[in-house]
Amino acid sequence: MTPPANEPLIRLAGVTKSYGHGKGRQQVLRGVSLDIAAGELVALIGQSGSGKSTLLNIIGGLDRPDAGEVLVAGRDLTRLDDGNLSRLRNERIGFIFQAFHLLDHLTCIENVALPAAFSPTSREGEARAREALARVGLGDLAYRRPTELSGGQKQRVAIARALFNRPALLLCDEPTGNLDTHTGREVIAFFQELNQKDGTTLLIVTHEERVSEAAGRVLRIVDGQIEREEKAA
Amino acid sequence: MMRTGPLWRILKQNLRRNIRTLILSSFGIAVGIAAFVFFWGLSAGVSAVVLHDIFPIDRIEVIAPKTSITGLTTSLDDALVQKIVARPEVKTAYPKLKMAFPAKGGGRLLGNDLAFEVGGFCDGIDPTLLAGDPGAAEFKDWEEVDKGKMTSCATQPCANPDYFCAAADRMCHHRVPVLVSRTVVEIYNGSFAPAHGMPKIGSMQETALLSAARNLRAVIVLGESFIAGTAANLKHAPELWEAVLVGISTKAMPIGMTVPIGYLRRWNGAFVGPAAARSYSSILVDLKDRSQISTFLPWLRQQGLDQEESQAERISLVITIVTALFVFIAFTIMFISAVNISHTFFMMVSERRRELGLMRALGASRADVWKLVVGEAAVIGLVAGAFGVIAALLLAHGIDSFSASRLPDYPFKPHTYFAFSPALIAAAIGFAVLFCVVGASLPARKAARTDPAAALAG
Repeated sequence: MTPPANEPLIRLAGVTKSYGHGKGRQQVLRGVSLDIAAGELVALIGQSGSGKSTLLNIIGGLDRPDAGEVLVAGRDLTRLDDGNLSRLRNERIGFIFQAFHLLDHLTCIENVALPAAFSPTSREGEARAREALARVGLGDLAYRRPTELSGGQKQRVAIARALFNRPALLLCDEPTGNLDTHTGREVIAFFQELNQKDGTTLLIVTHEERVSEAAGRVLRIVDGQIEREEKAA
Repeated sequence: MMRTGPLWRILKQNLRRNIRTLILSSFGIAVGIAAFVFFWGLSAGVSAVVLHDIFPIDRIEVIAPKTSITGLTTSLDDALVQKIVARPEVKTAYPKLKMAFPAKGGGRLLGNDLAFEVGGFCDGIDPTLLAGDPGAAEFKDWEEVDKGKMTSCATQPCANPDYFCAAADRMCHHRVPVLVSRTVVEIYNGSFAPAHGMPKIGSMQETALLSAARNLRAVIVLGESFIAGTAANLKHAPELWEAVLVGISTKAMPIGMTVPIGYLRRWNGAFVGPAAARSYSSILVDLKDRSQISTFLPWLRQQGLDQEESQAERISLVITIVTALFVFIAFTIMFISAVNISHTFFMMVSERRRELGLMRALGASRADVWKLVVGEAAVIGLVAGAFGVIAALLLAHGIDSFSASRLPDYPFKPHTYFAFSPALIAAAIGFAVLFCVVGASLPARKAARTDPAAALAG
């Protein structure tokens, strides 16, 4: 399902989120509203604890807001049941994490094909996983295990896994945080290529300047609110 | 919703990496299942021997009470048989008639001369009672069958070897078909044969004995006895009949011989009088459903009748209690194992928290995660159950082999002490799966409720 024409791919309106109970309750998001159009490459920056990752998790359907509206690809995430929300994550959203989150007991190709296991329809797991691995330049490492790979290779396998179902939206949480400068630059270049050639929408949480420089739009979050929005030069 | 193929693939991957932990945690289930199958199989096997061969439980034997307050007892005659058959609970009823006068017998068995008392150790049953059993074709009232067709042997011997020339009327009569019970064979094997240095009768010899029995000449002398003075005042002169063993049956009287009831009607009538030919010793009753005994027995007592005391019910109760005790022990073992499995899975779910969070991010629903954990437990249960069943079968085989090769023969010594039905095997594996799934259900619930965002954040 795609959003109606002239509607953004992501629309948040008055999203709030708190954690904890009683006196320890802490409000992490304080009425966040934003629109991200399909095909944008957006960087979300802010200090630790500012609510970046929480916002990313809410957009990805991994967490639910206390209040507000979250529309992704035309679906109101707050109204979806667990099954439909899971299906949306599986088919429309790809996640890339700082810690890669690869399963060490599986080979690269098995890691990449993992989303197929949760799809009610996808039956071409291996072929598609091979294609995704080739796309990130790791076609010849398909049967290696993650423990045999460098940090950069691991992140590329994680990217291949995120691309497996050809999602409309990639949500990246500090994707270059564990990579050296050179490898980080390669990953960012790959994101730009994905955005420009395929029109994939990317929302990247980062605190690195070089990542935000590559973005078309930069959102700065401070104390749970979007404080400033900058257009890239 | 996860498809079966990918679910199975992930289950295999998960089982492979935790194989040692899972073997240890499922060990108890395998032991519990082995104990369950072993003891249930033992109980079923022993029941089959005790309640089928030694104390048949599948029918009721109706008798007139031995004592009565009024001094009057109900006569077991044809009218009563018809009355019993007319009851809605009753499928069919067969009268049984005991020999009411002295008789003795003799013959050769396995090369040895034998002599035995027959009076008091002989009864007659309706041949239709034997329908479908071995020997049923020969076990019939041949006097009725051959009525009007008998040939004379006054001048020449009987042409058919199944017939003998009766001294009383110089006519060829079919030899009297005789059944003996397995108890007789067991007593012979266990006591008589060793004491007299005679060979034992095994299952192979049994077949050989029955096929050779046609050539053996066994005689019954009606109206004569080895016990002095008991054959006086009979209404008929002694008479010699030849007999042939046609089968070993649970329907024969436990110690003695059984012939078609027609012979005893005629013999009792001739040697004692018409009343002895009509008054049965008991009536065997087959109920349509064993559970209907609760309505049939009160009616029976209203008629002034009783049920022959049988050890079967009591022994059946003892077997049931002992089986229940062992099954309880087996289930206790499995319950403790299920708790152990639960503990293992709680640990595993905690260890895999990030992995579960990742799966949720990749599109696994809560139900998918629940299925992954419970599915793993079900596979463990299946494998542990199969190992338990195999262990029980091997142990049973070992005990049977030991018994066959090392234990001395004793009455009713079975070829196997066990009876393992497919239903028992299926139930055992089902229980193993059930206990593992129940044990893993709480950890699975916890796994399904894992907050993916928190799990991925570490």
